[in-house]
Amino acid sequence: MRDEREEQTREAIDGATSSEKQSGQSKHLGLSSGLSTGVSSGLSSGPNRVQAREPKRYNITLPVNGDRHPITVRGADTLLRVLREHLGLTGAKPGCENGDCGACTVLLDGTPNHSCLLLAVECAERQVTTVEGLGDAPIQRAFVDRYAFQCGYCTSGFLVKAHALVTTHPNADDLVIREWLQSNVCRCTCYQEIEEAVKGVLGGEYG
Amino acid sequence: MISFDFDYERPGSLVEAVQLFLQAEEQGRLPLYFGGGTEIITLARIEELYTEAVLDVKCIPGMRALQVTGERIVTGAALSLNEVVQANVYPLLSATAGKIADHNSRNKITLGGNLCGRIIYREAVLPLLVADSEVVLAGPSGLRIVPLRSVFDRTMRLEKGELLVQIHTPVEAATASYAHVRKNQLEEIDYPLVTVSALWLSGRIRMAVSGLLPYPFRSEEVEAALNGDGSVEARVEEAVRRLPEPVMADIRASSAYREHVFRVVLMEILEAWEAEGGEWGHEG
Repeated sequence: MRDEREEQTREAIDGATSSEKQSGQSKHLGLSSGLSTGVSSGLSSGPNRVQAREPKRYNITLPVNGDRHPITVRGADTLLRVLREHLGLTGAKPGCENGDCGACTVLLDGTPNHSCLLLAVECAERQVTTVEGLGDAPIQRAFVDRYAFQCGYCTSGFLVKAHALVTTHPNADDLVIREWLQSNVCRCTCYQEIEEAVKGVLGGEYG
Repeated sequence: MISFDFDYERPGSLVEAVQLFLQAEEQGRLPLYFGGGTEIITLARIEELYTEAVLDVKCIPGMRALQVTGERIVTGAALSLNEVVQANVYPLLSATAGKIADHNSRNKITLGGNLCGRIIYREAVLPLLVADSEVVLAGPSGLRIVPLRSVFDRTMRLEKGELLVQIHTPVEAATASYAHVRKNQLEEIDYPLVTVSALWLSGRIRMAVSGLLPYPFRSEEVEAALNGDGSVEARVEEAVRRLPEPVMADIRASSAYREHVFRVVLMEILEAWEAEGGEWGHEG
């Protein structure tokens, strides 16, 4: 019975292989070093933290706010660091760099993510939107009108998150608003004003 | 910033992933399979984890499977927690996954990553333990399907180079009455004092717990107590007495307080079940 299940599973995965390949989901990255290259000299490094191999660098194209950026990154570079230090897009803020505060929130293919928890190389050829790319999104005017910030450090993360919320859930109820906004922290505690700004956009005040 | 370098590779098949893993392992590069990668990135930043090669498995065919067949619910290990929540193919899994971390993080954390992670809570395993799910594993010896409970003992006990591909859950779990209760000390976004996921199947309660001990568990002895005779209070006391080891204490709560919260949660679940009965989903 289990052999039969395993066969079915194998077939299911093989089937997925062909269909997903057709849809392009199993593409390899255009890495500067191929998958099978870069074999070490045999000088193992390991826990002593002495890296004997020359670390790879990756030539990727990062589409951000509609512009395609060809850049070279380390495998260990986070998207947050690359946005700020390679592309000069300082809207995404380093707060905790631990996925707790939301100050670095960006959209990846339209979905809100902590950019500190993304490797830049993971995001090659995917659509990144930062606060600089929101343009005249209504949520920005709503934040100004409601005084939804004080020091402003968390604001760009909140704006990106709130923009994604109102565009993904134009009829969001309190439960959805609460669930989405829990990803972001405001140490000035402007939560009430931020919620009012979101509801202002959801209520159609900004066209 | 992560202070050391590692290579990032994206194998296109399970065979390639395992081969790359074994090759890197042989070279002493301490490879890691990379799903959402949230734990790898955060622990690497504070130098509590070291690797020279991560293998991103999210795009491997089958890793993002999501389907319900006649007998089982198939969920790929590389589905994000939010994708699992939104698909809602197994309500108890959705209820549990929807309370892990925060909304942004759930777009990145994968189902398989939560099961295989180093974090002690690993709450996504709870609904799978109570449903008697099976897991599909790919490794140097090929593909195998085994009961989750045979490879999950406090943590996932995978062989060297083995990779969690899919979780198969019996379909009856999707229509069974369930309860999911998570109690936190401070905010809603926090690690739990205790999380309980329970299913009622064939008139018996099955229950798995996180937060109480430094690992998630499902205990037949505890379940036997809950399904025994006597008042709700007596069954709860017996269940607490049968816990596999003393309750954990940490900065969030003392052992005594955690145990008290666990007792309250059990009372809440059993009393609500006895009052409601029938088809029922309780979340708290």
